[in-house]
Amino acid sequence: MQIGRRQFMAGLATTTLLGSIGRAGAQSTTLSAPWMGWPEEQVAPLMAAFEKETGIKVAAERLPIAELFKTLEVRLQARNEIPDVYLVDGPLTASYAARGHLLVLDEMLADDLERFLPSTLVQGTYDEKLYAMPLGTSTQILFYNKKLFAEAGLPEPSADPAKRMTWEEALSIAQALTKPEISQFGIAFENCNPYQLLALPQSWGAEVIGPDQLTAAGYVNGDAMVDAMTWYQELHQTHKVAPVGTFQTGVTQEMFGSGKLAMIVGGTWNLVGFEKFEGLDFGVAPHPYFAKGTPVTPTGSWHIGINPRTAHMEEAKAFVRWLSTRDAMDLWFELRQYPPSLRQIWEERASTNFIDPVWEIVQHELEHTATPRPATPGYREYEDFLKTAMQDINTGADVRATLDRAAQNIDREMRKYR
Amino acid sequence: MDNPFQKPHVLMLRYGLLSILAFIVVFPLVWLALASVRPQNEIFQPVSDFGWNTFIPSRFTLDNYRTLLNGDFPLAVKNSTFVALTTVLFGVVVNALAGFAFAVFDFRGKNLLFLLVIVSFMMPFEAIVLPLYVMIRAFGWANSYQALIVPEIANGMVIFLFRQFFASIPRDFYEAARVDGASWFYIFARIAMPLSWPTIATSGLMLFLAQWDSFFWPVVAASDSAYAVVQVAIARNINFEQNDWGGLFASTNLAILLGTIPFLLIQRFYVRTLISGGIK
Repeated sequence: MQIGRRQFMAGLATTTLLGSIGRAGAQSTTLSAPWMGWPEEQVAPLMAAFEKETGIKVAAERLPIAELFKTLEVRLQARNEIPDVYLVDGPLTASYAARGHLLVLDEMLADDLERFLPSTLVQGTYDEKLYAMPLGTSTQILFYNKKLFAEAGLPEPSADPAKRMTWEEALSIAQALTKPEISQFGIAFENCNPYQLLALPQSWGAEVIGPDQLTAAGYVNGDAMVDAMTWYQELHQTHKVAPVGTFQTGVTQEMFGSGKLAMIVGGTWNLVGFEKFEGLDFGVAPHPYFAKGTPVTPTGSWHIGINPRTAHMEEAKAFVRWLSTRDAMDLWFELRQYPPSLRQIWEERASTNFIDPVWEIVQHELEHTATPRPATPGYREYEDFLKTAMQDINTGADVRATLDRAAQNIDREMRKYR
Repeated sequence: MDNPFQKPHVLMLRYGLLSILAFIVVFPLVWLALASVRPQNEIFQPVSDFGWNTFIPSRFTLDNYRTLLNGDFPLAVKNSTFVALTTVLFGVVVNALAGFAFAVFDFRGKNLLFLLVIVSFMMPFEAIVLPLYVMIRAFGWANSYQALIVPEIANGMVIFLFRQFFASIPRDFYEAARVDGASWFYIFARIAMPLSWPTIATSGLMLFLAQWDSFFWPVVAASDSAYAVVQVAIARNINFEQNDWGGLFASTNLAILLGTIPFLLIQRFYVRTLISGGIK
């Protein structure tokens, strides 16, 4: 049988017709908002509060973190009206803004910018324009298990940033707390992401990216970076005080919660995360630093941005404007305890939530030691390669060779932004 | 009894080795199953103190499953089942028709088209996800069952399987039927398809599992929670800052168990195709 041109054209026409029927049926009146996969009860109340006030619905699609980034790539690169608004990871602001995926917010929030902590605005800014509004910020602190310290007869670390531990001290304490016979480790980093680990080379004095924000060679594989990451590797491979291959927050959290880990460097979200462990008695201390260098802490968090191609521009703007209000930010802090980006919340809660030593530490770090990740349009690529390199270093790969390869790969990808 | 494999010590060695291999394969699954019936705070404790506790929960609980059943998971199972079964239904018909055409007819560009079919299943999905998404959006299908089902119906691998099977049926069958005045569609439906049960079973299973396991495309194309499929529901238990291990293990277990049902139902056919495929 021959399939003739006529049959072929008939098939094509049918397909097109079916397509257009589908199109006519799709009319949406809600804002589409890809969101982080936080538990439903930490997301829905925020959207419900906005709907109650304005009548505009927000369909928050809770996605696991890796899929959130991948999905945003696909949707944004499709360059159409979806999504309306989306969560922007602070350091990705430049990447989205450079590719035209974010609306400039300066005009809209012109009278409001004073209300934010300046350090939180930095990561939402690219090319001196604000593209993504900070919903909060973050810092990392040292959590320690009080029971394990008491058992080993060790004094608890001080919560005073002025008496901050050095990494050298932390190592010797970790050695005293490591007991291989019962699989107990002294210390761990919550995960293996550049967000958390870049504080090591930065405290050592390393510049982690070139001044043009596009050069990795000589920085990602610079001597200071190699030395600091060698120290990190020795923690796992030579001194064996840190567990190997625990790359995920969920896993290290369980180890700390079940008393198999004496100290963990982690974010403030652990305050909620550790609640599920009954009988866990933990204390907090500031992030350690290298004696030869300066204290540096990771920072940055989630921002919100508007897709410039949205078909619901007014509603999207209303949502972002509403999120910048005191009430919305206060509710958001109730739901997820990220250090707030509005000064007002800090002031209002100064005598209630923030008397805890944790928040005193957080406040100090945000003012003095918080160091944002590189503001490069290629942060996505930078982070991907560096994260893999850091995982390889954790499990014992040659440090210099690994970082050389990462630098080479990053530089290759950065070429498109030059 | 000259067979060297029947000697007792050889037998012992053989079964010993097989047992070790079986243990390595089965143990993680057993651990997964057991972890899901433990209280949340006990899931990770026995990992570091390897012993009897690793296998026997101190307290047996169905809490994790109860929480699942009260949440979004039943909806996800319903969605996945609907999407997978619909895909199988349409997929088998469409791909069989395509396979039949490739096997029986001669038309211009046939080889080129068949090459495209082969290329289509060699192509990583990530490479086509962007244009596919743009197309689905243009049809207005984002967040709909069509978005989940239609792109998965045509499957190069399944077309290939059907083509190979139909090509193995002697052409005399078809020609005899033509001489008797049967239409091509009659031949396809009444002669070719009834002969190809094993291929239908295999392809049905492949299509079903592909949909049951699909994750990235549903996340991109239909992330509305009303259309969440099983794998997406499972992934919702994990996020960057905290994990719900109990929910994760319980939902993974259910997904595995439910996904096995179609395989158990048509296992006999499935094995037969693999064998017959081997002889040809």
